[in-house]
Amino acid sequence: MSFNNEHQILWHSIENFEMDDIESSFSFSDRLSRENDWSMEFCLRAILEYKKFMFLVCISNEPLTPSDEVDQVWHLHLLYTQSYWNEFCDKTMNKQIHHGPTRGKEEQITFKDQYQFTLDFYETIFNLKAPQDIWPQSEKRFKSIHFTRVNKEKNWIIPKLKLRRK
Amino acid sequence: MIQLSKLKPAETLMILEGSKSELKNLMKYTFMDLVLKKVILVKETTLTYKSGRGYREQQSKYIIKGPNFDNYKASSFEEIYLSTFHKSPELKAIFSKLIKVGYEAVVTEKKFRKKIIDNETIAQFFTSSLIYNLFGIVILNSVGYEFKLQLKNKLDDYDSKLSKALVNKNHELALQLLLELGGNVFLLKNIDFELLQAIDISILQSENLKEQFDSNRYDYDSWYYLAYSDTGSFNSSFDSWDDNSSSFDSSYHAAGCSSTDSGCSSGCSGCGGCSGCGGCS
Repeated sequence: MSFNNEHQILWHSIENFEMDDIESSFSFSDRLSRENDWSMEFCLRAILEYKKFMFLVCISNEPLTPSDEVDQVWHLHLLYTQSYWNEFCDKTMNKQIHHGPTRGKEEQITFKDQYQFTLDFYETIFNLKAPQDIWPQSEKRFKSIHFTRVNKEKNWIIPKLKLRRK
Repeated sequence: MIQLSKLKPAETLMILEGSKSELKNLMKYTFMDLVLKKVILVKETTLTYKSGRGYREQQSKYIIKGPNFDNYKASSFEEIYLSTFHKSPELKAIFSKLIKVGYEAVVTEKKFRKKIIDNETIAQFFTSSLIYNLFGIVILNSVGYEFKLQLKNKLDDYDSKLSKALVNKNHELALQLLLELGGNVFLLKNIDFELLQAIDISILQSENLKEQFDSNRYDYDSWYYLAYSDTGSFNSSFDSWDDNSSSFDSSYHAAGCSSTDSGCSSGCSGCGGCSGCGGCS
């Protein structure tokens, strides 16, 4: 990793920040898994990537854009207001990081560029490529956006058939 | 006869108990064996949580990849715990979460048992056929049955020798037996794990044993977890997972959120979300 001393200390405290309350029977990662239909393995890895993203935000002078997966972790964390604002932002990162939803199509190019910059910055800082299952390429990143909240008690979810070209 | 230390405890259990072996035990011994071999490590940490208007401290166990992780040739059934660290080597997983990862990766008991008996060390002892595979039936062949009898006798023998060595405080002999047993020590019935814990670290570090330890990829502080494994929360974590896994997803858990002393008084009703977030400022 290409960290200076200050970065090292900051990364250490972000990495060690625990989002799960281990006494709770339905913790942060359980909720993340349930709401996104993710395996626990994927959740744990996505949480780690979220922490890396927040670290990058802290040390970058440019605005950064997360992948959708990392963004889902962020959304959920924002719901845990005490944990997010007091414990994470104020006490762990010493920085208030606000989340800004897109304002529409006109911003899409900006976000694409920002996202590519984020991937490059990730690689420079951590000396490794961001894992593609959590950080897809920028062409893919803004295609998978058609999400909606579905009540599974009232609806079946049937995946659309994919026609694959060889 | 195959050396006991070459057999992983889950493999031994499959030979001894076949389809009667409990999934929980197969998973637990697999986990402990990986800790013992330092493929993964257990680290205890004190966490501080906001609780009401104050704070509370909570001991937590984290699992990280161990010094032998990169060189360890894992069997496919061990991957239930290791695949996460292959994908994210720097991950620190809360113990109970890694157990959940394990349970999810098992998929079904039958599939997990099949993975164990297909392992090259013990595959020779089982009868394989399409019907057996389909219904998850585990049957030893004649060689396997013979081996099972030998194995049972050998374990009983170790059980009594090790208990005596620990009672007589013959630590060097106890350690020698432990090395021969490998992770199968968890399968002994009469072993007193508190006595086991009493093995002096200085003995474990002594020069004549160090070489053996290195060659066996074991390390002295792993034995701590041996003792730990039978004394409390370790067992109960697997137990509670086994008991609660079906009710885990009950709709009750996900139903509500609430506000605390500042913020909205009516809880929250879900934000509008966003499709392509604008990053941060």
